[in-house]
Amino acid sequence: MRITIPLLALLFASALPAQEPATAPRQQATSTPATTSASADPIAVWLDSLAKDAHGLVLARAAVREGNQRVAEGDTISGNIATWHGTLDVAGHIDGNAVAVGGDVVIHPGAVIGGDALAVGGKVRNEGGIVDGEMRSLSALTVGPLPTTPPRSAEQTARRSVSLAVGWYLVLAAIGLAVVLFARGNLETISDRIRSDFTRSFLYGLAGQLLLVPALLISIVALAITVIGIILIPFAIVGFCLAVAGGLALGFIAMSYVMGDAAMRWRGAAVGGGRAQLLQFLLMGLSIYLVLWVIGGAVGGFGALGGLVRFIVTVLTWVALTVGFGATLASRGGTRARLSAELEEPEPADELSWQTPTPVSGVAAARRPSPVEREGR
Amino acid sequence: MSRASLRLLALTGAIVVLPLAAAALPAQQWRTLEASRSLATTGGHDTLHVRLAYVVGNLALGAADENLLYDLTVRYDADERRVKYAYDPSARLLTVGGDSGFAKTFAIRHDEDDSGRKGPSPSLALKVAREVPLDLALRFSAADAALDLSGLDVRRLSVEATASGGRLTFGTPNSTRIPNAELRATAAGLEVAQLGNARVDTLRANATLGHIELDLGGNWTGRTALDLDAVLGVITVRVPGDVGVKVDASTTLGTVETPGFTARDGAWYSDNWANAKRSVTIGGRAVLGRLEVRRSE
Repeated sequence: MRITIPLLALLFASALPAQEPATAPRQQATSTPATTSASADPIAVWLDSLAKDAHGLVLARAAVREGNQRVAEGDTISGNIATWHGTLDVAGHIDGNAVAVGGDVVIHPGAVIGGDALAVGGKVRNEGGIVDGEMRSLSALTVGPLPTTPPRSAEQTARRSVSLAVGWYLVLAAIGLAVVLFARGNLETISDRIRSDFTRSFLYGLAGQLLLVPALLISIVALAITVIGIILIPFAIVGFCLAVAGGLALGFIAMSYVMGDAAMRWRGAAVGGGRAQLLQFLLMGLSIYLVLWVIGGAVGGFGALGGLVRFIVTVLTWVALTVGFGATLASRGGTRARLSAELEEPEPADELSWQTPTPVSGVAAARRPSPVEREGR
Repeated sequence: MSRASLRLLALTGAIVVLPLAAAALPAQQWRTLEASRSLATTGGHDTLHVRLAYVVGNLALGAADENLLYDLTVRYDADERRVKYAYDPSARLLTVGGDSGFAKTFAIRHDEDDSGRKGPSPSLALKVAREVPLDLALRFSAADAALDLSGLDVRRLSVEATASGGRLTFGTPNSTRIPNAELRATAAGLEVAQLGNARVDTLRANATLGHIELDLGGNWTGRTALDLDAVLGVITVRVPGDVGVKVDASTTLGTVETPGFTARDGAWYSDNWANAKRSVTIGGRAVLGRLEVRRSE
């Protein structure tokens, strides 16, 4: 079967794990307290995390009591008070902070809290007391900086590149299938243009790439000048981007088809035409690029030689994109065949066809007016 | 290619694509922060300065419950961002911001319950005291903002929206006049309802690749001035029928639309300009953009 190579390539690539194994433990923003080597006491460990939270507090271990606590009316607490897995009811006076972990802080009428009222995993409910500081409720602690992705190793970079290559292969194969089914004529026209005018297609593609941004800007300004066209500017930008993406994709698919066609001919495959063979050649061409990308991705992270290989693969892909894009532009998306082909004169039907048809009875020649006659009039 | 081969190709594609898609799904750790401060213990009724910057999510601003200076509720994914806020009692300055990596800035995600239904998105709701004079400077990007200033005592206002949608409402008349206010929409849409209630002396508005709609409805008297810049954008002003209007704006490859107004001495005037009890002067520039001044319906 002719598609064996692409399928084997796919199966090989799918066997690679897509998920990158982390070489270093990822920093997590978590409610799990930070570990300290100083103590195995869960409350002490948790207080350490509370101190590290941007919205937390520094509390001494001695200030924390397990279960529900109540500061009765008339009572005065010097410093901080905290509950561990319990509600803190405050009706008296607290000089410092009032904290509940895994419970609510309830501030009753007449209560006074000199510092902050903080509930972690609960709510601060003020029913008429006075809090000099801030009332704060946290669903959980947020400790540490934002999680960051550690730098990838060469192996991870390679895996990622290969995964990307396979992803692009699948996307292009899907687009290619649609093109073969619904725009086969356009594909063949663009492919013909690539074969016959490779250099010109490359130059067209290069010019097209350089003019993309100016063309977009000119379009925007032109729409803006017409005033009513201002409304159309967002649509124009989206449409322009879609057209460019479509042109690039179609061109690259055509280029892949040309590559696949050449490779299959080189292998001595019979060329019979038809959609199936078109798709086969296209997948072959894409597979050639897949192999290039896989090689480039696999060795790209390993030293200067790997970088060079990756650079070469990138240049080859860019050339293919440029040529395909140029051919797409020159053929108006595959709707227009080569101009020279259009202007070619048809072959004569027979060797006498160049002669002017002459009636058998002959043609009467016109008489040229004589100057003497004109003067006589 | 046979059908069996195509089936095998599709199956192989699914085998490859599904692990790739699964690898892209990140974890989420949602947090809720609620913070408030009592008005009674914060030094009376001096001006509260608010500096708010918010990126990605829903932003709401409104009036706090009685006896609270501010009331802040933030819902966020701790894997994506940190919430930073601070209150400086000596300067009466409340700063609310955030910290998120660039790559995660636009990762708007919703938490989902076990059945896969979407929950609320990241959000920040700030409520401030009604009785306290306010100096508000609000900036938001990639956000959906609902700023309801009804009942607040605004003394200074600056709103800057980038790649966002926002609605600003003055539901009740401001207690005092605002000398200067500033609105800026960059690639954003900003709608201001009942701007007349703000009682602004001079409003500067800039729409760059964006759209600002100003509704001058509300209970106001005297004169107000609008200085509008529409750069590749559109600013629409809707003026009640009894308000006298003078439009004196320049254009650079742009337009000024004043239907129903009379051109005189290089400006456009409404018919009631000379004898209206309240009036607005609209100036500014339309650079590749459009200024529209229309009567409210």
